[in-house]
Amino acid sequence: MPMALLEADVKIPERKKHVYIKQPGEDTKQYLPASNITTIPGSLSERGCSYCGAKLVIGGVLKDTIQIIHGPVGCSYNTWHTKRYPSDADNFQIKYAWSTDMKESNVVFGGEARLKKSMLEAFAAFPDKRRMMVYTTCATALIGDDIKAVAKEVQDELGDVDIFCVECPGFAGVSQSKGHHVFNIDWVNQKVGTVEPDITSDFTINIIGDYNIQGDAYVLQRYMDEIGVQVIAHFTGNGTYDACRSMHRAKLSITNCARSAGYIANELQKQYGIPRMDVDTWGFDYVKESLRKIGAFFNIEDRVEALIEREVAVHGPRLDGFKAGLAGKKVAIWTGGPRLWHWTKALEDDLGMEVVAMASKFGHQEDFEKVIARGRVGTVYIDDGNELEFFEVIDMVKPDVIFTGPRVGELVKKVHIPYINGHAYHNGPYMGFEGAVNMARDMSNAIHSNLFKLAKRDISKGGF
Amino acid sequence: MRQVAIYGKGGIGKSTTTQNLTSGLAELGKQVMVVGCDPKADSTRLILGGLAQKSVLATLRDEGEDIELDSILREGFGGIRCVESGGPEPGVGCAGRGIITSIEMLEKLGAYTEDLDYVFYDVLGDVVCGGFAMPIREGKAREIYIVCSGEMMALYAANNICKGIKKYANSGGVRLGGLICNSRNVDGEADLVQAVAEEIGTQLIHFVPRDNVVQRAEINKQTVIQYEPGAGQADEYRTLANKIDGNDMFIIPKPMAQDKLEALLMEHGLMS
Repeated sequence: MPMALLEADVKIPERKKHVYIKQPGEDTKQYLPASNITTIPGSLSERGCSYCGAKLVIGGVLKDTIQIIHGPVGCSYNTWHTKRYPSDADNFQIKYAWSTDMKESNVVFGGEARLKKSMLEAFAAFPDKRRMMVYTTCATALIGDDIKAVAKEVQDELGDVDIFCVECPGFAGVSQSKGHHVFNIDWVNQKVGTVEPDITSDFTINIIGDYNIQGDAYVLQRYMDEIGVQVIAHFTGNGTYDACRSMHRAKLSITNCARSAGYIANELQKQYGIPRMDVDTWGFDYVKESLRKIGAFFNIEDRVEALIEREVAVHGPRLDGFKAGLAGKKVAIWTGGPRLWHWTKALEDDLGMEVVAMASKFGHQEDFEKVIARGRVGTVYIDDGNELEFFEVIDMVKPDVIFTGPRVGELVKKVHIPYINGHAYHNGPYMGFEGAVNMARDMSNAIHSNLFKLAKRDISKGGF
Repeated sequence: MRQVAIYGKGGIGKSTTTQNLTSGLAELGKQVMVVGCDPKADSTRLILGGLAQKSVLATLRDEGEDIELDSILREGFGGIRCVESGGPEPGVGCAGRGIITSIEMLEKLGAYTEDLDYVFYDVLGDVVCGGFAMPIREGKAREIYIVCSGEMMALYAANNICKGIKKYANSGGVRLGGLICNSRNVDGEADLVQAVAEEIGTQLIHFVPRDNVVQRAEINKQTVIQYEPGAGQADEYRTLANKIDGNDMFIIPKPMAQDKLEALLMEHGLMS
């Protein structure tokens, strides 16, 4: 019975088709958890809304762009700096949050006037920022505020600004995944091709699906600089609005997070003939492989080998230092989607760890195909998991460390299992060679922390 | 206090009927409040002698939530208290939410006083969304009258409104009190509306004949009862007021399937 009905799901047996335990000899042609479908009532989903997928994950990362959230004030705060994506532009994008703060009478009478006022105020407050994204939310989408018309008015009035409208209210899809999709497609159709970049190299790429979590993009940028490849645009880690308008001029798109940004890579291929190359920028060995693919594409293998040699010489021994303490340790990965398939085999191959449980909030069928293909037999694979299921799985597989978000993370601490922030990291970057070392170090610190040994001691029984 | 909602197809004469019949109730010595639930805010102009007071929502928008009842409630003919909910300009915002907001505001401001015998909600057109159903939700109007005529679209609308009433009948306790036929001089009108009423399980509570005095009174910003108290039409409205005051037939409607409604229309010769 590879599809499993957990104890926690007895009252909601529909959950059975979302939980899979891989058996020997099985592959994804036979069993695949249902995914990217509506959450089952009764299951306390951890999913985000579609608006959140567009704003928090993609748009909000850009370092030079004002992000106006047209809706009640909570939509703004709850998608603000919960992910740590710094920038070299004084962290503008995580210092500020903007909201039109819609109130009852704005809903009744329409919020367009208030939106326009907010947009003009924001541009006035940040005179050196001339780029803006405007997002509809549930309330403003329901009443039909025409944000595109307002954006055009503001653009016409101010002249030197450019505005992108994201019309993807929270209810638009089953999860944040819909927001990724809408953002990707609207961006490529409305903004790509409207700015011409300065080309400084024969070798040009777009880095797609990296969001500079704790500096990931800096690592990738350094590698590209070293091998003489010009990054036309980071979509969107440490990226700029105008660079992302010039993505049509790259010769190659490398795609890390295929779930949140594979769409734009596909469209660039379709509309501009730019090949899409999927890479893993996490994992020590995966990074070698990915760099070699880029080297082969541009015929610059020698430069890439020189880079790999030097990086491995520096970071290889550091990684080795953590291996003994991590080999055989059991890991759970409960994150959004793609990190499951990026990380599971990397942790096994690089460090000899065992990934025993994985759960995805918004992955699609193709994500589960990849993760089950790369994942172990006996591992529990869950779509749209909830806390009760997680605690049951903890009892089943007894992980030594869990990659997940702070909400579930703080709960698992109560059963004395350390967690590592799988979304925003503990102490990243986690990408590249040094990132793989950072990840190993954070796991080692978590697993071997005395804190959890001490926490298990019942001081009421004495002996403290 | 009886709370009554008047629904019906747009343009069928809900506001005219409501104001004339409440004038009739006022003549009977009843304390009445009329709450206009239409963004156009023209549900009380005959009682007040023109578009007189500022709507709840306009006041809320301009002055914030700290408002006095006096600024939105005005007394008109026969001491009838008039409130207009108001709403957004056509094409923007959410009129349905506006009705919810303004009724909540009226409750908060204490408009529903003990001495009231009747509160009438004059609601725009059909029950198009949750907002327009606000007057018939729990704790609000318990009885509904649908204004219609013998015209096909008016009866379609009436049947549709019955679906809305049925939905709220169990949770909110709302009941249908009857159909009011505001005659358009259609052939066999009274029989047809009577037949529809029976099919739905209710009554044709009154057949209001067509009379041009209604238009003359409207041009003069008055109800017929005020403008020409001796007119036969004024008596029709008085009769309607009396029938509603004495009504004891309140039912959960059984809306018809489309086929059934069309068959009825056929039978009475409209679709031949």
